Amino acid sequence: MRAVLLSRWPLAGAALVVGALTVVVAGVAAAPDVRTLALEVGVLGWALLAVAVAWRGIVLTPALVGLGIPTALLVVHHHDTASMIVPAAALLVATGELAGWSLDRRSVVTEAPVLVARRLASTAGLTAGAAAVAGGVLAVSGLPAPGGILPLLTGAAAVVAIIALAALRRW
Amino acid sequence: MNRHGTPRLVAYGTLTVLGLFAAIVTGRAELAALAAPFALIFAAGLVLAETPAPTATLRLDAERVVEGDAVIVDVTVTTDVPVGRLEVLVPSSGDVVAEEPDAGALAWSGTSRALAAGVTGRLRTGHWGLVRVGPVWVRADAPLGLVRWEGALGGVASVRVLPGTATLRTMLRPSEPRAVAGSHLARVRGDGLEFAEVRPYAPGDRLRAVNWAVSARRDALWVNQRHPDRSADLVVLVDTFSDDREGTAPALVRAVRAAWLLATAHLAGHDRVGVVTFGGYPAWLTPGGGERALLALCDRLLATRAAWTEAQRSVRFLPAHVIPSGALVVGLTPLHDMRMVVALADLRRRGLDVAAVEIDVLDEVAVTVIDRGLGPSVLRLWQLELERRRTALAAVGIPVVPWPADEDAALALDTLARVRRRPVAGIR
Repeated sequence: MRAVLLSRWPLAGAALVVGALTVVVAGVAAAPDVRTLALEVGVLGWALLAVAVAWRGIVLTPALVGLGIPTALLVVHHHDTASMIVPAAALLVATGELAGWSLDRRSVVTEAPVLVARRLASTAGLTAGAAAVAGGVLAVSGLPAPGGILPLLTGAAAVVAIIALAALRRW
Repeated sequence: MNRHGTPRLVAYGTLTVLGLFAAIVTGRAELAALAAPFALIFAAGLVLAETPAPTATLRLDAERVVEGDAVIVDVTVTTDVPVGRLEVLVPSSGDVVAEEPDAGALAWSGTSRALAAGVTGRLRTGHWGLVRVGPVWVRADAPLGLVRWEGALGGVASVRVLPGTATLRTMLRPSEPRAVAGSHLARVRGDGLEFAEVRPYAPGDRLRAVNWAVSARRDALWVNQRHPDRSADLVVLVDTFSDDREGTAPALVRAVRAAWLLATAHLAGHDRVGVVTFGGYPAWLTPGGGERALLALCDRLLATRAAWTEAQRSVRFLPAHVIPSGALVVGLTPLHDMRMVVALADLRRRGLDVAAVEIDVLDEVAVTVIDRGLGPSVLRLWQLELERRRTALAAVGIPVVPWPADEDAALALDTLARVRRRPVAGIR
């Protein structure tokens, strides 16, 4: 029983459940004209997620993109979607973390209990953090800022790029 | 150590770029909010990923063990920078099973601090052979687990699994011992411990050889005669012909076990012992004595492998010094390959003292016969063929002792020693 619990399949199942929840939340909230498209893309993303956790980890990227597209469609076709973004971001991050954890568990090495607890805490923390960050960005975007969103996003991208370059120099 | 990005690194990076791009194109901050958590995790995962320089030490608690013994493996992995997660895998080759920490593999995971303190595993050895353990494969995940390093560290440790600890109650007695002192009674008379007979005193006899009781009764001086203790040359001929092209040789494990038993007993008795592995890859070790010969024999026997061959094999191709004249040759064979039978007969015709232990693997053969859908008549025919080979060996004066599958090697060799108690004269 312990071996089954510590195997990757419960984690893969959890990732699939959370991924399905992401699609359902976005699909239900989407406008009727794009609902079918959102659900179709979401289901495709979910199928890719199943392939990723069961077989090829490299498919995780298109899977997460596919799971995110219904939310993006929701944003594009509605004007008041701020309340949907926070749970969607949290669910997407949770899906990615659980899928990644499941992929890491393909190793023949059994994960130590301390690592399981640490990973569980990390996943929960990142999920909560994702909600907080998404909420924070939405709050900041509501502030009156000269120049609109374009300079803000360009600045954010530049910061990410600088941090990434700094990290690459350490390797 | 090789560096890899995990699937999450690519996925989060892609989501970040696509989300921010879509936000810019559509002018919607919600999309940026959706991508922002991934951007932060991506950036933090890269910033916190500092390349570690781990070192690993691998130690075994023994260099030589006996079949069935446990080998304790101590592993320590230290890293210069803290990593999020460490996985350690120590592969092993040979007939061993990992009992700890996890049934089936010497593998651990944990924090860098836990593995720096050292972890211990246990391997249970199976049959004889050389077991190699290592190198230590280490996988280190950076904090947040987006970047990973993995590679092999340290060297390979090896342990020799010796074939059993059984001892022989009686050693095989050669018909022609060497002139050097040893443990075997020679048939000739001379200085020794074992009483042979009494004879009248002759000039030159030592005073301490006088048997005073007999001299008093006979009214003349009589002296004791004794058998001198001599050493012998023993050459063990191990059959390494495999039964099929897949290299199946069910008797080999037991043959080497018996060879080791014979070698250790006779080396302890100051005999010289040599070994010839006769089969797919012929190899030999010239008879020698002492600790050095024991170690050489150990290495030779542990390297023994069976192989399929259709090439001609004959003792004629062996160097003359490998089987010295007067040596006792013991063949350990299931009698499955006629070339082995011919080799034993050839040695006997050269005048050597030859004996054979027939390793009974009929149960394994029966399983093969059933697996291949052959009838019981095939098995009976095979038994008849084996009987014919036994008879052929007996006809040239080679005693063949059967070694049943459920019997200990020492018992079979004791039986051989009993059968050979009366040495057979050489055929010239």
